[in-house]
Amino acid sequence: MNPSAQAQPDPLTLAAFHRALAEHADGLKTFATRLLRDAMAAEDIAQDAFLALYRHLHEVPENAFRPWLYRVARNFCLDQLRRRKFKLRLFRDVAREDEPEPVPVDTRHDRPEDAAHAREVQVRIQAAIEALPVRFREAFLLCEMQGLSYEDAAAILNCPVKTVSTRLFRARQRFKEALGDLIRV
Amino acid sequence: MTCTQYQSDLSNNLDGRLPAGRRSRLLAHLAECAACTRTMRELEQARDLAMSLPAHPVSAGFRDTLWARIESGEAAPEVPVISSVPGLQRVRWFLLGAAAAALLLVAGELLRPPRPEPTTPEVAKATPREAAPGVTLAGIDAQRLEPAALAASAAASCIDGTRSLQSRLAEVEVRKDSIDLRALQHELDPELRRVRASVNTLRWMKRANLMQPLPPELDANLHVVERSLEMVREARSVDELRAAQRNLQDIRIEPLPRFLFVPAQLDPNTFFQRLQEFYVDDPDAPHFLRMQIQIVRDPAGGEPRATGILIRGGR
Repeated sequence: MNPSAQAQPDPLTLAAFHRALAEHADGLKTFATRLLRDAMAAEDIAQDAFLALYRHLHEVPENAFRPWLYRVARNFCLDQLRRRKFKLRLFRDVAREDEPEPVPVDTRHDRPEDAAHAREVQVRIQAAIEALPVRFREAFLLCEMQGLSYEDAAAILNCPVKTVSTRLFRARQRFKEALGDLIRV
Repeated sequence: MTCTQYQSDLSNNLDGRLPAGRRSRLLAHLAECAACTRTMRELEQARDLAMSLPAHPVSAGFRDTLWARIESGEAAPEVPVISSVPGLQRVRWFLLGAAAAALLLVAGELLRPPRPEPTTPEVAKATPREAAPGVTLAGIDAQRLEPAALAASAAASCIDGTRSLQSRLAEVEVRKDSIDLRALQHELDPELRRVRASVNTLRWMKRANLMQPLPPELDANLHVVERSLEMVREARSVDELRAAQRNLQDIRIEPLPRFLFVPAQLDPNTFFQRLQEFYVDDPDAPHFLRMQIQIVRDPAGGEPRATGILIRGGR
């Protein structure tokens, strides 16, 4: 669509869009990366979600930007996962889908052995998240890691709030069990 | 209840999602049950581990690429299932759309040349007509909008802040042996200030006669909130904190006006613009931006018809 053909958002709405971009872009990409295990595809999805929001700015109230973006991103992710599954069925030698996404470099450690240990722990945590079934993983990523409310997560996942609560509870249990030796009480 | 039955409550409690009664029961159970307390600590640690994972920030060129795509007029990709927004969100959006549509209908009704015999006399009485299009709609009453929004915000802030304080102080019951009183007071200070500011706002509005109708027992409730805030701030022992918590538990703050009534004859564009300006300038805006909007029907009965919209402040 030509931009001239598309109504320009008013300054307040545009300012809200900029705020959303600043506040949610990283979270959206992180969510998509952990769902897809593919940071490059996740960046594209985050961008497509913002592009979609821009086109629908006049329809989406500002206070709904965040769940709207996550819902769109989640739909794109599920779409990709479905296509991947289909491709995997066609090409069984495609192994890339099972390779874990590299953990971003954590620069908080000066000593190499500390950094190596921290990295090992992070790989374990990431593996524990990836081992969760998709429906549990979604609830876990949205509520536990992105801090969304149960109501927003329910809107994103298209399910009742109670279901979000149950999935989150199951996800937490499994995640805790998977990391049993890292948890010291 | 058995320990197994408390497990899902532990998860909900982590997110502050338990109703006060169940939370109290859970806290009482935790005070006696070492196994459940251990599970709670494990869940907290697991959460810390999950949160320790670094984020995947977008690349440096993310914004530029996005704007280039927008400016080039690139069509957004097909959005799967975007039209079927579910559950609460769907209801909210429906209500928002319906409220806007109702307002447009009313505005359209007003801008239409007067008919000799109005079919809906109660609306005709409430909304004086203007014949020519483009005239200012009568009864906009915009001067009342901001005070009313302020009242809704302050009340929501007071209610939410008080609940949040209640919930934080309830933790004292569990951690009473390991509590660092000064650190806790320091941690709670921003919350105390926020609630205090909302109490001051409500008092000022009452004095200035800006709050109509006046909620019942407003002064008594605000006094208890105020007193409890002082008790928390000045507490020298855990017992004093617990006394403050009990005070807050007893308070009846629900009658405070969380609701803002906006007359239907207000032009929807003006309304949303003014409201947004108001909230954008409010330093506490994030707490109040989540609004639920619903159509209010004519309280006098008769033909169901929107007479205005209602905004609920708070989380």
